[in-house]
Amino acid sequence: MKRQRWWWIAALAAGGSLAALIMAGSLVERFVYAKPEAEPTASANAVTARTVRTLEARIKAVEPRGLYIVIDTAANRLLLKRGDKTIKEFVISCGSGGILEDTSGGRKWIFETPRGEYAVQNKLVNPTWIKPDWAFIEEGEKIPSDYNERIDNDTLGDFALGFGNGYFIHGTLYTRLLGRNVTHGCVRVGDKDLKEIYQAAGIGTRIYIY
Amino acid sequence: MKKAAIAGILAAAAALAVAANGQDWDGKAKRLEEEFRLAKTSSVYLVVDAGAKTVSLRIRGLTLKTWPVSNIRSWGRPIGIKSLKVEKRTGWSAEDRVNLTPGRKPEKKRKDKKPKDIGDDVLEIDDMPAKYGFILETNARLDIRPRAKGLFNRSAYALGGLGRSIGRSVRLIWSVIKKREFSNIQVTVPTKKTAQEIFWAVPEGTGILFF
Repeated sequence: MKRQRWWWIAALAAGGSLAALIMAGSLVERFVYAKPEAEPTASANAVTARTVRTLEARIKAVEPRGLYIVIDTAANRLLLKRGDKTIKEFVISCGSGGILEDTSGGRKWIFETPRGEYAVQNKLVNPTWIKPDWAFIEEGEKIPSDYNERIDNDTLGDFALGFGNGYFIHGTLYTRLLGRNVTHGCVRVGDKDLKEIYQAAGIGTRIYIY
Repeated sequence: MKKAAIAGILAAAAALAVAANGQDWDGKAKRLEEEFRLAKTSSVYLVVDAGAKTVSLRIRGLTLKTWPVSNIRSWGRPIGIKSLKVEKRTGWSAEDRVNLTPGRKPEKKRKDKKPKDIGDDVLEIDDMPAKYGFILETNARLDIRPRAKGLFNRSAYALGGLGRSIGRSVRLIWSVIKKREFSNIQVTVPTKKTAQEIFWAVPEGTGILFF
């Protein structure tokens, strides 16, 4: 009987302590953390509708004008857009995210499609792929000393749009894998779709990748 | 006398309206200033809009994608209208990437595989975590989790509520003792896929704007 009473007292004490702890936490939140830090804004003085309009105009000014390309690397989709309107959507393949290490040279490549803002820098018809070192390492082949052995006229399809640092929107031999993340960082598109993108996008067309 | 009283009420109402407007403009201007700071760079940024209950991914002021949010909760120091950079992400590390062995000839192998069988070979949206945190500057943290679904998961979540309350209280008290304030925002999204998509779209270094 006495033992049972002790259990009750212990349980009540534990419950009371927890309740006190939670209450103390909420008091800290209420009295210590109550207000956001006072931060003077650049617009603190006489903010008016005009100031807001100026800021809105500044943001509008950095938005793209005309046609632009949006690439969703998660869904493997490429969108041709103008303003808020989507003109056309294409199924593509983006970077696999894999890592390749060159055990002999200590080099490392991450096969990821880069994110952010880019622009079409060049447009090529019947593009030639100059195979980089990783293409040979991945295949377990010796890196050739002869430049001509790097030339590959078959892999990139009929057109390519370069957007910097060796990345291209190009064709593919592996159309079955469109919609999956399988590339080395470039954006692969089916032949018919590639022609359409090539014709629509000019040099300087903005590309937004996420 | 009556006219004077009416005029007084009208003047007071006008003053209140002006004051209310002023406050609104101030908040809006602050939000736009913060957004412009992010929009003038060439990187994507995330916008957590507590009022509209949405999270959207933007670049150059352009909305790339918007996800709905089921619930937003915060504790610690309110962040207010501010943009913060993601310093670290929890729930996934770069070591989780697939290591490609030289000589494995993945392209040639994939050619013969069915598209559904290449999952182990590549990093895709399904490999992303659904429960994770973005560790931000100034001791702030944004936690993303999907809404608990099914009776078992909901019950477990409700039961865990007491544990979470105790944990939060300990953290709040400890932060005062250590004089190191923190901000924590928890965003609950409707589905696991939404949480995974947000994780995929927000790499380390991304700016997040809260308002």
